Amino acid sequence: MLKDAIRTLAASKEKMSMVMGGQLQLAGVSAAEHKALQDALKNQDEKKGNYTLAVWG
Amino acid sequence: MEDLVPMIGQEMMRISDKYFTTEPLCGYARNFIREKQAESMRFGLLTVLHYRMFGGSSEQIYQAAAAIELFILASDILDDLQDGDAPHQVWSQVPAAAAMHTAASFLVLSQQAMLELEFGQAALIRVAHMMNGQLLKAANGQMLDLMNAVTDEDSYMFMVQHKSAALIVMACMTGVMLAGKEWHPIVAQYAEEVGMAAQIKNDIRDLVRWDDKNDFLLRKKTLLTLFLLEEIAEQDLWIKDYFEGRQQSEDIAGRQRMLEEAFDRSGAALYGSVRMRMHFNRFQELLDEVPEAASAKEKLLQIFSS
Repeated sequence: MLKDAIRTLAASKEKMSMVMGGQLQLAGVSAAEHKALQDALKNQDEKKGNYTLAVWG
Repeated sequence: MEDLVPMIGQEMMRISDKYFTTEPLCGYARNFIREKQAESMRFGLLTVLHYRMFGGSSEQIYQAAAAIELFILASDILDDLQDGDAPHQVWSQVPAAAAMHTAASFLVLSQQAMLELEFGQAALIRVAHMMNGQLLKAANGQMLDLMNAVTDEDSYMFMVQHKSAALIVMACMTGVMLAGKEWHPIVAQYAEEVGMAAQIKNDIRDLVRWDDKNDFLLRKKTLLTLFLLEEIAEQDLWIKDYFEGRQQSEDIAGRQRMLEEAFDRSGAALYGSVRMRMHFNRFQELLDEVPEAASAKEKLLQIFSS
């Protein structure tokens, strides 16, 4: 499940890099969750032109 | 779209001057609207954009957008008064009773501005019915948030769906329905998705700031604080102690950096970001299913991104 996968990644920079590079598929994580995870990891150096959600309120 | 912001602001002021004719209400209302004019008008822009997307062409849509923004302004004032955490806002610097009364008056003014529109009685009744339905949904969510009634992730999502998403659905659907269309289920769904994403984004912001609005300091249960507390590391037990009232704010003074590290190390920050993006990605997928949105997609994304 997503929470477990994120806890695993948070504990391993190596695994995090592998997910970013598409070299690691996480068990129990759906395609939508995987895409969002990659987006979130890549966001750290997000390029101009990519849309990020503004803070509302 | 940005050129529409002053137009919506001017409409808010015009409607206010028309009905608030006596001081001090007139002055308070003008001051509060001026404060709003300096901020974003995203809800009103969503109304205008959806109206045009679905074929509407009347200039009266700016009055409708002003009505939406008057309601949002009233909500913001009441929210700040309830939380007592926005001393910089102009409505926090006047007697609370006066601010509360002006906010309540804005709620009625919003409805009056909508009912004045010349879109036909039947259409206006349908729109008013839809708006009130969403506002009452938001009222339920606001009370849950106010009472910190969230206990787990499901109840958090339920609260957000009611409190935040309902207002975005209202803004979009007002435009759709004033253009003569029926309730559009996919628009409602994508508005809800982006509303959920926006609230999670707010929660991420409210965790890293170290002031009166910090969710941790306020012991608020959000997606991120729930994640952190679910499996807390031994070195972070002070966070749980604070959350459960065994430590007070003076005990944790100066621990901002430690808190940020805990959110990074535990994965809570990443989890919030992933959940936010899941809703935003779903919003984009749903947007692609609405043919009317094709020409306005860039503008819509700009509203949500700016």
